[in-house]
Amino acid sequence: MRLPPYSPKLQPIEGVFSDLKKHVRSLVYEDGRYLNKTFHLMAAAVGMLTAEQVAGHFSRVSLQVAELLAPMAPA
Amino acid sequence: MRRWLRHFEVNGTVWRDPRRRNLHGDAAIRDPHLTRAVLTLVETEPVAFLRDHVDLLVALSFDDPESDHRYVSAATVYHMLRFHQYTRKKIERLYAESSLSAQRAFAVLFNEIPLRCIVSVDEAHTGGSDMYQRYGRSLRNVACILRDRDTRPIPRTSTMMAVTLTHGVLWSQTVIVGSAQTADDWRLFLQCLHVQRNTYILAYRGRCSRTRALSSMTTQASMTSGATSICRQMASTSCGYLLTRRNCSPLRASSRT
Repeated sequence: MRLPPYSPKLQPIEGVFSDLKKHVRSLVYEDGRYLNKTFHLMAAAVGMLTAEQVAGHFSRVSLQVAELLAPMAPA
Repeated sequence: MRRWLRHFEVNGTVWRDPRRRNLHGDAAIRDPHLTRAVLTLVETEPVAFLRDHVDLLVALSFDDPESDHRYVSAATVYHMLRFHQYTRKKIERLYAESSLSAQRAFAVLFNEIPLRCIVSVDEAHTGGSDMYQRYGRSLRNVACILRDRDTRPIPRTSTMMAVTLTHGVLWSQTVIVGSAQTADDWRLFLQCLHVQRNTYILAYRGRCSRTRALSSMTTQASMTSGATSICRQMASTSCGYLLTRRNCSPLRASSRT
């Protein structure tokens, strides 16, 4: 199977990781002691991700896919 | 030095803008011409920033022939890019998505799989400047606006995560890595993900089901080898869809062209 080039913009996980990094930054900014507890930091950041947030990224990707395929649709 | 001396003889100062002489460290960042040239180039030709620095300078001179940018150092360019939050990952992303036809080809493939059946899997590192950006001293009651890499020693971690439309974060795993994570890390991650088989069924390429699928998309060769072996084990009992792609770095891709 020939696979097309990787398109990160069309990956829901990339948006989720973007949110995760925002959570990490805010946690570190609020409490610098998190820098010494990396596993606690990442677990807390992952725990802050909600299912609705993830679903939002899937919806965003779905819309982008529809926009990309719109010119290819038969009239 | 000759350039500075020439400028001094003509203008009586070595500074291009004497008002900024006290901002030597950030003079390049505050140079609007250089900033415009670099940011325009990174948006139009991101591959120039992934090759050698000489190629970048040549591209800059083509882009803005009147300017004096051919003397700018690599450290200055990447300091400026970091200031404007253009990380290497973001530049690679711009390069990968520079072709609309490539995006459409991916969209066609993506469109064939029901959204609820997609398990999006990837990893992120915490060692880069994108994770810990706020750093620096600030005066009391004055917001810190410095954006730079945190210099405190922090273990470099890799977080692997799988997300779905209906369940949110399906599984995540954080490991401390050295230079890069290995196929064993991915194998462990996929074995843990395998626990979720009641909801999502893993499978091996070639036995594709359009209603129940696992779509794990990544560019990492290490994951490809790890995922392929675990999915071979599961092939006898399950059915699904695995999408992986061998690592194709922009450097190698550009050298072929």
